[in-house]
Amino acid sequence: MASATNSRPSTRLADGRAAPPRDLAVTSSAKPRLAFRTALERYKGACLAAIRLAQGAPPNGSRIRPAGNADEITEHLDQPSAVHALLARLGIGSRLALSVFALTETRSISLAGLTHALGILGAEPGPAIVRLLELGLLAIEPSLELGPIDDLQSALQRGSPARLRLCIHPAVKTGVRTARPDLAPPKVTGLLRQMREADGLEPILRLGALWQRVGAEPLRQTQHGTLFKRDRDRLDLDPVLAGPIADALKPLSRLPALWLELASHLGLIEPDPSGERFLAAPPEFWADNAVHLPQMIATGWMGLQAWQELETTSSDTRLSASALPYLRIALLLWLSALGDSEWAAVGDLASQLSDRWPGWDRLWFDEPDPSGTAAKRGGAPSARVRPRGRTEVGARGLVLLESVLFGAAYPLGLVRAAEEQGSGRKVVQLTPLGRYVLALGPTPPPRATLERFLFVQPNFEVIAYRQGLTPQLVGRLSQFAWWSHVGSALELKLTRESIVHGLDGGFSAQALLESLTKHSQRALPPGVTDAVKNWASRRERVTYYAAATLIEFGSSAERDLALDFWAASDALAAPIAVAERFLLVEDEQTVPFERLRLISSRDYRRPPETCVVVEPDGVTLALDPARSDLLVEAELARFADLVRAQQPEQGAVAAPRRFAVTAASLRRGTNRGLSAPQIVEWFARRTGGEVPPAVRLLLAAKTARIPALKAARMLVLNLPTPEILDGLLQHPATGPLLGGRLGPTNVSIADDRTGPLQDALKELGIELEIL
Amino acid sequence: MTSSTARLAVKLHKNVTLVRTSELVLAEEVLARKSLARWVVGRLSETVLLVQPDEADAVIEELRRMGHTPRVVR
Repeated sequence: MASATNSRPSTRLADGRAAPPRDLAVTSSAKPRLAFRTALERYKGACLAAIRLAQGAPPNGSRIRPAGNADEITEHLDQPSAVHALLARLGIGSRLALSVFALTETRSISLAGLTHALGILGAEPGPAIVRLLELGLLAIEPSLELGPIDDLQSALQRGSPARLRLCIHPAVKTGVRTARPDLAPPKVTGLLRQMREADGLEPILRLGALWQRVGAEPLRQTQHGTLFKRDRDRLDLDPVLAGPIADALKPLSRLPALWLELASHLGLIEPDPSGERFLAAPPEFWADNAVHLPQMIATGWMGLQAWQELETTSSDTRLSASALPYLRIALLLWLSALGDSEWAAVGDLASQLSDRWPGWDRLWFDEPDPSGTAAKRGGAPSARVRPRGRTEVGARGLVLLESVLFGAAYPLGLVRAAEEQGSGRKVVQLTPLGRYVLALGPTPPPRATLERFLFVQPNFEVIAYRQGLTPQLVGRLSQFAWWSHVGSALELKLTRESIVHGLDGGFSAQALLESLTKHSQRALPPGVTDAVKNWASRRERVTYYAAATLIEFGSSAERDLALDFWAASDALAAPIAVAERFLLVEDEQTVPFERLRLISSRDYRRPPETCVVVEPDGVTLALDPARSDLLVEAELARFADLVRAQQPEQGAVAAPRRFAVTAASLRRGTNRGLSAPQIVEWFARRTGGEVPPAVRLLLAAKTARIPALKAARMLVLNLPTPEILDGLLQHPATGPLLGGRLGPTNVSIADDRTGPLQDALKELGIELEIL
Repeated sequence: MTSSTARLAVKLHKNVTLVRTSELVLAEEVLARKSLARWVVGRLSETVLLVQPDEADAVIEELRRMGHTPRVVR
């Protein structure tokens, strides 16, 4: 089995929108307008002046300074009227080029890609692109390869088409209207049969299933950006993700990789902050995006790079960019040149493409030209290249065309398929959704849906008819029922995990059952109803709050008072009373602060604060009520005892709480594994100082570092001056008889040394009187 | 006595990570499980445990291993 994509799924932009497909999107994180202006800054002054003049600046006006010119051009394009005026001067080729930018929702495309798309559409790429550059509607992105740009045409010649990128001013992308190619595909005139149009639900169902799977167990990726093998296998072996598309006219390979890349593009799976895992988007994604999902998926598919309609072997995986995104968009645009009721034969499309753009069926830009006439410079075949002609259409070209149109565009609901009677040729046309995605048609009418399309069975399996489903309902069901089979019939399974997933996503058990009942053809089996209620009630037994808000009151009476006025307000979610003085609030926004006076606030995402004061006795530790947190008491309780609770002062939240460190409490702590270094670290963190000597004494006693103490009777000798004491301490007759110096003029004498000291002093002519 | 119209002085504890159980015995079960107890840093009441904030996934996974289906409030 082919494995899911190894590439790192794309991320989301800073503003929360899904990022454009990789490689179509510019790699820089700069804002589009800034990136455009920065690109212009690499132009030389004369080149900028020429662009500004081409845009309509008066030639005799004030001198255009090169340094300010990039700003001037960018600001000029900020005005919608200026953009419209410039667009009106464009030929069909240039307008098609801008359409490619707008439809793929990208702001930067490689020269090779844009050339490829225009060539497929029958436009002359060179003149069309140069015209856009001359009018400043596109800019060449800065590159070391090119250096400063003085001549636009020669810059295009010098740069590598695969590496050279063109960016668009955001106002131009917004202002452009999709252009239809002048040259329509050959029309089929014969009678048709077996007209088919997909419901467009296939990708939405599969993405719903993928979202569930990633929600249940996130995808992990290696440092190289590839998925862990276990996760890759999980996707590849999942029958719902890897199973063939039931209504497919052309089978596609590596389907899990397709859904994965699409989900990443849509933002249905997102990287976590560490970048190590991909998580499922919040359930709100479905409510926010379900209406636009078909269009978003179509846009995403057009830009897919890592996944391709034709299976690539490992040797085909290149560093070069894929050419297929440009084939996809160009094919749809080309089909838009047909009338609503007109059809084109796939074989005719392939023949005409081979005539007009020999390299149209290449998969990669570094691939040799399949016609044998190597396209010059990385994917932009010369206009002089010999056409392959109708008889030379390669087998791969036809397979590729069918894979893109019937394999992918058909299940996405973008094209209809039919067969020409007699010849049996496969024919194709755009659907209303296809025209809408190309911004060439109105919003497709909603499908007629079946209200009651579910069969909920006693064994917790649910059968769903596709006719009743909409993107919104797929999203809704995906939240609480596990997709177990996606085919012409759909099967889901209700499990404890799936129901809990739904409850976690914001459903109540009641809402969940109502949703099933509303769409069920029969009453829900009692066993299912009971189980859902039971699973929901069991879930309420243990609640994990990742970031709860606790409100601490001065007393339980005040807490109860707050509960009363809280209950009186219907608009506020009820808090939960916790312990004696706390209220637990799930959403801080619901706290009625107008009824409360905030004394202090503590955010537990921040590091712990210094909030303990050591009292003069060294062993009593008082908590600062304004700065203390809930954790500090738990920390203190490990090695100190709560002393007493005082009455709080007027207006205070609570009386200062005191803890005393005793030998017993310290022993308790050390017996539970608390070490002396941990206590030292705790005092530094919580008191901002060192361990008080009194506590250090207890610690030292505990670790038996203090030898047995000895007591002796001592006399204190007071001297009139320090100098005399210095002399006595130094003199050999008196020094050995004195004890430790107690101060500048005081020294201790052992009781049994007073006699000898008196004698020694007498020898020195000093009298010692014992009082 | 606090007047009913006076604003009550409060202290706000924000972003606290907790496990709350519906019954005392469930909290005791959590504390008795070594793999969970090491993440419990305090006990606010009989049924409310303070847990380390940076171990959310591990705590939830361990609760599930115990057979619970915890409601997770992010």
